[in-house]
Amino acid sequence: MPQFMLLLYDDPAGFQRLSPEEMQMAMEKYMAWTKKPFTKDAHRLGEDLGRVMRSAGGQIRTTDGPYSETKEILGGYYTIEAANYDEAVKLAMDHPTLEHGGTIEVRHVWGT
Amino acid sequence: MPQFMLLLHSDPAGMKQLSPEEMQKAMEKFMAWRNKPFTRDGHRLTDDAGRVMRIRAGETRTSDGPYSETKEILGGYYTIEAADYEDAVRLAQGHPTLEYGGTIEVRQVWGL
Repeated sequence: MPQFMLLLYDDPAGFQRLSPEEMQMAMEKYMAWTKKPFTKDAHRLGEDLGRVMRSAGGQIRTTDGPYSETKEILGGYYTIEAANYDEAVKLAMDHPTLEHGGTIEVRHVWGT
Repeated sequence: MPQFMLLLHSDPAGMKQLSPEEMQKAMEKFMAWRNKPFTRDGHRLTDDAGRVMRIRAGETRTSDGPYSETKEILGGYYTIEAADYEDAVRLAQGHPTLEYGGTIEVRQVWGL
């Protein structure tokens, strides 16, 4: 069965506006998604901006993140099984990040 | 031990300029990286741009990728174990994607 990555991009500031109860509910929805029958793997990433490494003129330069100029950062991912892109998108429709203003990038894992 | 994701951003057109022999060598280097003692997971993503999902005005919209306007797309990832960012960056120094003009975004996995 082909595998697809759901890459979750969101603005960490958005979550900081939630009340503790709303945050708790959001967390439960995300956790529930890790237990869906088609979910194979999932991780949340730290909210710091990380490091960015690139080679320029033969030398590797490391800078603080973020990788892109947008406010949205990659907040986490899920790897799911689906027959094709259409099915992957259909399965991802009820992912809670969408309710919270996040964006999902759906990508096919090579060789699956 | 904390885990870090190495997110490999690169321009797929770059690899297509390689000769078959150069491509073979590049593939071997990438594969070898999956067997490093600190590597926990790694996957390549297909060269297509995928799908992008977001809610706008209460409706879920799905469009063809790429997610960002840059030529670089997320080409794959590795999950590695490292003590901290400094250690993660040090381990990532030898990754072949840097030689091929790619960028590595290093991000800590939440809660590990």
